[in-house]
Amino acid sequence: MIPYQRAEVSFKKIQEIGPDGQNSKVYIVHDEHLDAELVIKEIDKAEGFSKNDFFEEARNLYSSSHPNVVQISYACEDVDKIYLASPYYSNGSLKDIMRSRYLTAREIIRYSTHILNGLHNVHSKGLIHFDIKPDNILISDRNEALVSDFGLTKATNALGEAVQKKLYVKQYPIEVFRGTHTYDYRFDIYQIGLLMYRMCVGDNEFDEQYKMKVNSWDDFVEVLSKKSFPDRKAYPKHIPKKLQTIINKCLNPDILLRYQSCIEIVNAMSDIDGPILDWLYSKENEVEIWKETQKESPKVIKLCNNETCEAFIEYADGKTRRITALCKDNIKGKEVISFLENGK
Amino acid sequence: MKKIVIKTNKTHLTTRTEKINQKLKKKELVVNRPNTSFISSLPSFNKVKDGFLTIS
Repeated sequence: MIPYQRAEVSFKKIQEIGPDGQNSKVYIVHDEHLDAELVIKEIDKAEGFSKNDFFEEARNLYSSSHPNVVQISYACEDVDKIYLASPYYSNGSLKDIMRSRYLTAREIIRYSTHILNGLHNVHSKGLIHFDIKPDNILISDRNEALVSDFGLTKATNALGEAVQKKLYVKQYPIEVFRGTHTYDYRFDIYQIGLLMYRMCVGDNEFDEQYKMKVNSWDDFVEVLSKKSFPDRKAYPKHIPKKLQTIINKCLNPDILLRYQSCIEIVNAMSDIDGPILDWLYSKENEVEIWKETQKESPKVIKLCNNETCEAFIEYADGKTRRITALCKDNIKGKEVISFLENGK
Repeated sequence: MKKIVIKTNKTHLTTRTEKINQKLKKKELVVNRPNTSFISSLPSFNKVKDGFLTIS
């Protein structure tokens, strides 16, 4: 039998990035041999784990190779640690973008399509990701979303089910409370729905809902089963109704009523179109603002306390022209939505 | 000759019964019914609220 040959890698830590995992840290490093910046995930070798356990994440990542899944450059070990190297994506994560601003509906659909394509590939390899969240979606140099962090990923059995006992609490779907620890692909469907929801409402709103509505396990079960967390009525007005319906279906507490595969979701999103996709939303205290993107003279709508509205066209020379039809003290939500949908 | 159509409630009732049966069937199929004893065995919620939980 030919023995495995051992070789060395050489890298220098430049900066620690991301929050600490339970047994891992993530660094931007400079690889001496490749003369390139990489990202290295350093995982402590916990007692009682075999070599196969240590490299499970690397193997899952390698077997899921896809344009919308983060590549693995190499995996290696020393006495105490495992090192997983990936390319360095300077655009950061989806979480970073969501921290800086809201996404347009077009961006939400575009990124979601990338993530769903990557995740469909993961599922087709018989794996369940189990940790789909904004921090774990990286943005490539081509501004495409990539699924990353396979730390909780598990291979499924012949029934398409996998056991996972370690899960991120905020993202529990209701099936966690069955207590069987056995899940199928529809676990990831719930989490992609939650991710899309967070892209729509923003993480501040999502975190606030969680803080207000979930204060005990019993609360958690109740709000999930009654569909009041996440709040299906909290979508901003520029999120197309069709997209809201799709997300709500992913979040259905009855797993039989969710989409059964990622491709079904991509197909459902494929016919969402229209001027509503290109409004950039922002919120300052009680004032909601929508501004058209990709226009030389964008329309701007400002809605205060959901009733007083002013709207205008903003010209390049700084001048503005009022859109009188929308300048009202008691405007109806429907009127604003209709304007966002039609751009006029 | 004029045709006389007699309307009965039969179809209506059948549809309703079917709907009820479907609903019951769907209820039976719900595989994610929470397990109360499992929930009461979980650690304090506030300790794990913003992190990962490994369930034994």
